[in-house]
Amino acid sequence: MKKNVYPDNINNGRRRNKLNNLRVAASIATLFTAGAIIMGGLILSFNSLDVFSVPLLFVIAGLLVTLFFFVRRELKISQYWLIVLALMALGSGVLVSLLPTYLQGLHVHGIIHRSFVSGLLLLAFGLSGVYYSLFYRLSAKPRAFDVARYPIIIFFTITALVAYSLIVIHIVQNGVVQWQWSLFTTAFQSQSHIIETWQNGWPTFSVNPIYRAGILNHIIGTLMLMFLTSVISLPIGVSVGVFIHEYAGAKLGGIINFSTTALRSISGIILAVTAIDLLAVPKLGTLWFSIFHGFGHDVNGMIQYGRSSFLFASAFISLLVIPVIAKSTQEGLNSIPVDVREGSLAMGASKDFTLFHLQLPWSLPNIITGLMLGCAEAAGALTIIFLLSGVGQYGVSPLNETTSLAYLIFDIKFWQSLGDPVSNLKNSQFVVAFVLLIMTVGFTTIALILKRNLSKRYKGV
Amino acid sequence: MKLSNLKFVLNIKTLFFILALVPVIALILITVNLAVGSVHAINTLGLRLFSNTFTLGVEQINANPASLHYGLLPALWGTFLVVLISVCIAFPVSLAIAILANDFSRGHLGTIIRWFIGVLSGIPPIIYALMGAVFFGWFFFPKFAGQGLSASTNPPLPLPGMLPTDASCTLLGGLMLSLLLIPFLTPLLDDALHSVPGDLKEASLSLGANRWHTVKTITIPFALPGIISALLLGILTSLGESIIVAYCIGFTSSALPKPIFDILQRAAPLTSTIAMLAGGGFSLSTTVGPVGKSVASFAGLLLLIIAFVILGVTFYLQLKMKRRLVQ
Amino acid sequence: MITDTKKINDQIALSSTGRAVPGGIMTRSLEIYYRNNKVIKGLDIIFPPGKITAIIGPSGCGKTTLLRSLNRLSELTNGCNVKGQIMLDGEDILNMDPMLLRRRVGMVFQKPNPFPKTIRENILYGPKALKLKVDHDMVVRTCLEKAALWNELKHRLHENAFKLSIGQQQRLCIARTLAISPEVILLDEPASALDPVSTASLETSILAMKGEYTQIIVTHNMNEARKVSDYVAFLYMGNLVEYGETDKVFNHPERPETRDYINGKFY
Repeated sequence: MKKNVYPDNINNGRRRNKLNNLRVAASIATLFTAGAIIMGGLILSFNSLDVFSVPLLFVIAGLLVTLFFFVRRELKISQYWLIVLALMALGSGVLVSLLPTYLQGLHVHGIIHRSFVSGLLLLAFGLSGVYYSLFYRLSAKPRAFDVARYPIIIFFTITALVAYSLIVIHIVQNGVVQWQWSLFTTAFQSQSHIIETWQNGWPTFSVNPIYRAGILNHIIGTLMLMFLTSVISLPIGVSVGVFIHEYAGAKLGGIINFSTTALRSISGIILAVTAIDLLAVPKLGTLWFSIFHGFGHDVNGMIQYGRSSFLFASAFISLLVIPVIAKSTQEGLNSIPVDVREGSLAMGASKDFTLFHLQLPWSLPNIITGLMLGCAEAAGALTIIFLLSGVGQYGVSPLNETTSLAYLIFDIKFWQSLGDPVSNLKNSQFVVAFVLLIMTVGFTTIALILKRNLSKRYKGV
Repeated sequence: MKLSNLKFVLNIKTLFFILALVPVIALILITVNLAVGSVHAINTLGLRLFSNTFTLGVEQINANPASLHYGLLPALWGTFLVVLISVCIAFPVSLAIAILANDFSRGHLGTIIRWFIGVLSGIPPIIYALMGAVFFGWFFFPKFAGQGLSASTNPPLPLPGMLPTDASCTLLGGLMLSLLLIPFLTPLLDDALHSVPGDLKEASLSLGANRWHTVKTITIPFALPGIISALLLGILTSLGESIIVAYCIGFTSSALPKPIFDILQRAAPLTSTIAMLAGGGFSLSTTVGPVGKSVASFAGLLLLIIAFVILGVTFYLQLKMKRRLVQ
Repeated sequence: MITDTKKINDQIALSSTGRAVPGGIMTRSLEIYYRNNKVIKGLDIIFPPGKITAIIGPSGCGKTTLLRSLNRLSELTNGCNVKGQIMLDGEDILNMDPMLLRRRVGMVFQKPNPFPKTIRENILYGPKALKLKVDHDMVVRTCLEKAALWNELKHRLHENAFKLSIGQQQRLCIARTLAISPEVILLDEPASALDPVSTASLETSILAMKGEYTQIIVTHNMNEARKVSDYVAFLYMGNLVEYGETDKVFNHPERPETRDYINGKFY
């Protein structure tokens, strides 16, 4: 029977049945290599599955060679890459089987289990194998280019997805298990109550330690931070946005824009250093000292000074939040069509009137979105306040010591600062993390929903 | 409005101006504070600030400067390693996700991906730090430390003292940091790819090119300034992150790791070193003396300068991008 | 400055009770530069009070630039320079406070641009911005009646303006401009975005406003110019080629360029 010559890999529809062998082989190869990828992932997770890696690598090599021959017969091209890959797979199979269980002596301070290497190799060859098998499964049609590359891109996405799901699931799982409603209703306290009793006409003092485990004050502290930060950063952020958009020339606008973005980009730790330097300024006993450091009254009525007050900490956190609000304001102002603004000015309305009655109401949803994102930031902000916070057992109000959920998580690891084995709380760090996660992710999600609704807003003819 | 009737200085524009200047003034004050604070360290230690030893200890009053070891080289190297690891992992993944959402998805897949990434971007760094400890036990320890070691193997395995202990190593910090970077980078890259005009892509597709070819030859070159500025912003973010690295790597390291690229050791970056020095004894019983505090300011100044440079380059690129779109 | 405002506000208050005070515009050696290009070259033109003047000419000859300079909206574009004199009732526009000028010279744009507010708020935007003491309901009704929208919209005053059709939106923009009782109304190709039916309603409204307001319409639709205007100015490459009463210019044009343009030989 006359053999057909296929020009340019174009699949001639009438010859479909002749390519059956290739397609079958390629299908098998695809399934197998896909399985190899999954196996590679599993091997990276569990050491014991390492035994399967070598046989898998050999099988992949064999499949690739088979594929090569089928491709040469059916499509009349010699895809030498397949041979190269097969040889490489073979070589790695041999290499892995020669490696000891634990590799040592490489330039690392420790030893590496062989499964790390074999898992990565399996992933690499699995991916390339999938690419080629899919390509020839579709008989090398032009459309096959895209479809074959799809798995490679999907692979990265799925890996990221898996990683994040693991995090969230782990926190939720552990958080739910350790959930105690009492944690939410009690404020943490670890103090000693000095009681004065009278015996035989003489006062005697006995010490009564009070200890309560709870995170109520941390929750209120987080909310307090969010509130104070919003109050401070909203006017300033909106002013920056409005000023750059409306009033500033190119140079002044550029400077303000740069400074605002820079505040966000420079590390939070730099702001923390500045905060600590600033805290050292007022002397003990002055009013500023109380305002900066935050104070509260303990059970005995004695005044206790903390590291910093909420007002102080919020002032610094708002330096991080101002750029977010400014950017949202600018987005809102930019989205108003030019001729609507001109229409207002053409009527003789002043620029201020146009601003307050037309442009700012239009941008209000954008500003609110920015504000919610800023609140989420304030709740999670730890870099600035982790050297400035305390436990908050003396009360939670703007002039008290700073405390927040994020700080609590951090503190539980380095709990020496509390000076007290906070045993109950130490085990429930996942509950705290869970609550913090709900707060921040909740705010961010609401902000994103607002943003989506903005684009559906009536925008004009 | 009453305010606009006062035709003198106090009107709305001035109010906005004053408030808008607050960030500028704050930035200037911060820079000046850092510069002034680091004078003491520069005077006392001079170039020894860049030496290879770093020890924290109680400073004697009027101690001989030669006895103080505040070399920042290990910290700088740590920063370099951590940024390198995190960006090398996060950037390709983010780029793949962005390409998937923009060019390779049909129907609602792109929207779903964007939503997911958007929600993830709200997770604060402390959560990643917490998970670092967990990940270590679950993933790292079996692979890199080895379980069930005994001296009876031939050749004998290294002693437990050699292995990464207390759940911290540079690789772990870099990995957690890359998890933080991915939801940050993906929207930026997504915007950059999205800004490529649809007509160009359609023209390419209508000529018969497949999607991958279009992405490679049209979309990415066109979006290249946006991609590069996203990369720079990612570098900037990972530069300044201090909670994750403090949690997963540790606060300070005393010398460069030997061998130098050993990522299973602890190379603490600049940010956590600053935290240690400025905290003045936070969580440890050592107190940091005045020279130490000044070194913290100096290290902060270094970080600030690096950040400014990268930020300047980003702004320049964004300006170039705007000019290109106008034309 | 305070006395000027009071005088103009009094004048506007008088107008909104029904007695119109149209103003006339006259330019003398008007030159407009746009980024060092001379767009309008030495223009002397009169827009008589109470009449409708059409400015016609091919695209790019400076019609819109001229119109925008009459209420100094050209200053909002970067690079636009106006030299010469423009007189509104004998006062030089270029020396006036632009905000006060724009209260007396209103503008209707090519693409309808209602504010994202209700219909009623759209009309009352001007009086609120200028703090005019007028009866709100009466103003809304009068302006909508003049724009031939009252019957259609009298029960829908609290709807959002974006829900109207394009033709209704454009007439709403006219009504909105009428609410501040200007002396002159500038219309920049008002029917170019509209379909024929809406265009007809628009033309009816424009003719109804004749006598109360001076209207200056820029158009490249010659039928419209012929139907609506009293005077016609033909602008070509920034120069005033011909000016006169509509009938005379269209039926007996003096200049060959005018004749060619009217007969469609340009473009």
